[in-house]
Amino acid sequence: MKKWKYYGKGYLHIRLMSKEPERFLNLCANHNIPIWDLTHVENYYEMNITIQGFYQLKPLCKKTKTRIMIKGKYGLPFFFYKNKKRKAFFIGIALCLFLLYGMSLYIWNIHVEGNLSNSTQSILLYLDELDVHHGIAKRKLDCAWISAQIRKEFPDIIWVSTKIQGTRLILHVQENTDRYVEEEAADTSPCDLVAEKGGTIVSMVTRQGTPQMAKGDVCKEGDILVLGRLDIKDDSGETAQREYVHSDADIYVRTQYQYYQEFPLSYDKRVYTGKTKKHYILQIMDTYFSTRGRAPFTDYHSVSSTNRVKLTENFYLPITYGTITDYEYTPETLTYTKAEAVKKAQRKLTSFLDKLSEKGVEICDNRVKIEINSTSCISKGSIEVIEKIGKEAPTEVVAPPEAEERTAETDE
Amino acid sequence: MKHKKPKKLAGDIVNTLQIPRDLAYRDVVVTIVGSSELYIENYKSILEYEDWGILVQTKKGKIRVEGRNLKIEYYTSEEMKIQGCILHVYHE
Repeated sequence: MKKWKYYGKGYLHIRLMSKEPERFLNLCANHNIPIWDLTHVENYYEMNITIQGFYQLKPLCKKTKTRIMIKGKYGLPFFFYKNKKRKAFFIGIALCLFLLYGMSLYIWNIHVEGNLSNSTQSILLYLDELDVHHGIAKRKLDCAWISAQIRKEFPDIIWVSTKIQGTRLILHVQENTDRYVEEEAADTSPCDLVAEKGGTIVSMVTRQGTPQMAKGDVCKEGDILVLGRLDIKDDSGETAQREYVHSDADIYVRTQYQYYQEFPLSYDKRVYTGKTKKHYILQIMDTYFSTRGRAPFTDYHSVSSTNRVKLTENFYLPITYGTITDYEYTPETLTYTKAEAVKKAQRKLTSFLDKLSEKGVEICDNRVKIEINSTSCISKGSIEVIEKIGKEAPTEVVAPPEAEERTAETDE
Repeated sequence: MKHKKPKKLAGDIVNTLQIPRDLAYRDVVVTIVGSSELYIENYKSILEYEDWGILVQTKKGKIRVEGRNLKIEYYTSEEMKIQGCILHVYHE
């Protein structure tokens, strides 16, 4: 470290020719002249001395009758002096420093940390909307404001810390791992439950409302299953009061689905010849370069793999490069055999049943038959299932019982 | 007899306060690191310097360092660092 300090200020390597070298050395020490790397070679003493120190030597030399020879000049001042004619070199250094400083005023990398459920891309896209992007001047950024905006936009991010470190904008986010979902306020408006599908009721549990049907009844589409009105009767069995509630019930019906699926036995297949051709592509902004000329084959399909050039972690440039590979094929028309056709039909049926099961439908009976004629394979039949039904519909409001009575009295 | 008393008192103070001797009396400190480095602190002046030996004046006598290819890495009015193959160090 000390050597660098001396190099920066410049130093001399000198040779001492004196009858009293020790006296000279002691005088240097007393005048606080820094001397280092002092060696004794034959009858001479050689040492390094700073430039300022050298100028102070004159009276000491006179006093001790010492002669001094400069053996070498080192350090930056001498370096600049020697290279003073090489202007371009110094301009280059200055330009480099200037550029370095200029570039350091902008954000070159936006780094997002701690995000699991929100992708970095989605956060970056949102930042883009806020006009925070790669290459923005650092002075334009307000970290507290960015943090606040992100918290507003992403409800599951509970904590954001934004900081500028060098030329990086670092966003440290903390997501809510409890997966707490704000429950919607329960709908309490009065409603009925209406059958959206016909069938035989196999089970019915009513939690709220007046059941209009019972287990074993057959309902049609549009029938009211549970009425959202409670008739409170008095001792004489007359309706004393009516209350309206939000109906709630679990109703399961046995119903049927009609299934029909048909596909032709002949199909087209691509038989690959094994011939491929690779091309290179380069895209800069909207300009597109490719080594591919005319179409290489009559029938082919292409697979392209591209990479986007990025400067830093998330700083993508509008330059894309990659390859396109063309695979040649010959189209052939093939026919399914009976076994193949049945297998395919079954696979389609299974996927249909799986979809039903995913919806929470219980499959009781499957009466689908697969038939094969000369040109196509047809699978048709019915599937019996047990399914939950009940669609909310607004309750019809009937006039309160008192009003009815009163009108009856006036009629009389 | 009269000026001896304060000296004894000073000695007592130094001992009670446990001030190191090199600070209290400017006693010389010689530190040898391995066989190639030697530091001398609190010296007064260089009396002789050859590549085989260095003689240094201290407050209470002289110290001679002998060796081969002795080189003074740096020196100030208080401290010096000697480098080279050190063979003997003794008081004169």
